[in-house]
Amino acid sequence: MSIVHDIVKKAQKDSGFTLQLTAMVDMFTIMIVFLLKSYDTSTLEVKNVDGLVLPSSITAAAPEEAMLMLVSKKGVFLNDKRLASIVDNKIEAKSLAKEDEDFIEPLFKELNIEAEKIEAIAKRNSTVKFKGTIFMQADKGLDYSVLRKVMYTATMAGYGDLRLAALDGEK
Amino acid sequence: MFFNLKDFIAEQSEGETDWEIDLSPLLALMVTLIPVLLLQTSFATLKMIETTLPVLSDAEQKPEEKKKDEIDFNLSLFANKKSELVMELVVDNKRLKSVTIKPDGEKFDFIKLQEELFAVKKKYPKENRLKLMPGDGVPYDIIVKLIDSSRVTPEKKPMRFVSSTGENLETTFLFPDVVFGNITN
Repeated sequence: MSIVHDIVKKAQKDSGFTLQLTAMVDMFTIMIVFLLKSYDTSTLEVKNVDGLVLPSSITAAAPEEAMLMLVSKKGVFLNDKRLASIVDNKIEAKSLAKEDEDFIEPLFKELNIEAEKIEAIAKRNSTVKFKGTIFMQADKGLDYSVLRKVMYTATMAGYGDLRLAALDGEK
Repeated sequence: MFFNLKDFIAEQSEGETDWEIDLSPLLALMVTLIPVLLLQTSFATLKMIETTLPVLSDAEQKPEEKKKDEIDFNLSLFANKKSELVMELVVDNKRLKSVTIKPDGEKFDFIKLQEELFAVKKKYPKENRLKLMPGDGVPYDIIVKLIDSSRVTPEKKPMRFVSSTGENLETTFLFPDVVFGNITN
């Protein structure tokens, strides 16, 4: 704070003229008001992942905190961990169970681990409860067959409350 | 030599001094604030669409008791990759309606869909659930548009109608409770 103050003071002293800061302060005030208006304290954010462009919706509501799952054109991610790869709008066969081709095994395991963590906390803290909520950010160009497999696996792991992320289409 | 306020004000008003507010501390504060706010600002507003998935449970499920005026309402919307839509209405195990909505050019005809859904809403204003059954090959952004079209009236304009019980109703909602009906198939 004092650096700017010192520079301005020195400039004034050296040159003998007063720097007119009023216009600049006006501009900064407008900028601060604009930035404060767009200020967001939510931890939910649009992830900058390659191959992830969210669809837009006109009926979507304000998001609530939940476990974040990303489905980009390149893979399925949970807590920033890649659990299955997607190539040409198809989930790689090695991630799918042999007896059930809709079942993504690594995703199921990870979802189960997360559920167990929440249930372990719930045993000690009565205010915490496993609600089975997932906030899914999926690429708008993905085929439904990919999403169906992801949703099917979530269902099998006991996650029944799905929130689909979308950008505000009304703006 | 006491300080005389009257003389001081008189001197100020005559413009004999070049006194000015020092704005540099304020400027320094703003220069600090702006980067902090820029880092925290989100320029794209994130929203969510709530939907429920069927969950497997070990517990034995008892069939829900039906109230007297309650009907077994089942409205399904099928979508395929040829941009064709099929809306099917089954009430109390009787298929009352099955409409195929042909594509508008190569795109889904969302306007026609909303007209058909509104016709159903008029007849069953208390019902809110729609089962969405997209086929493989339907892109996700189309699914979101189908959800949007099923949930609200075109451009969210309120629509007035007289219900089957003679009530005058106004709504911007069609079937706000959209669920995926073909996940476990």
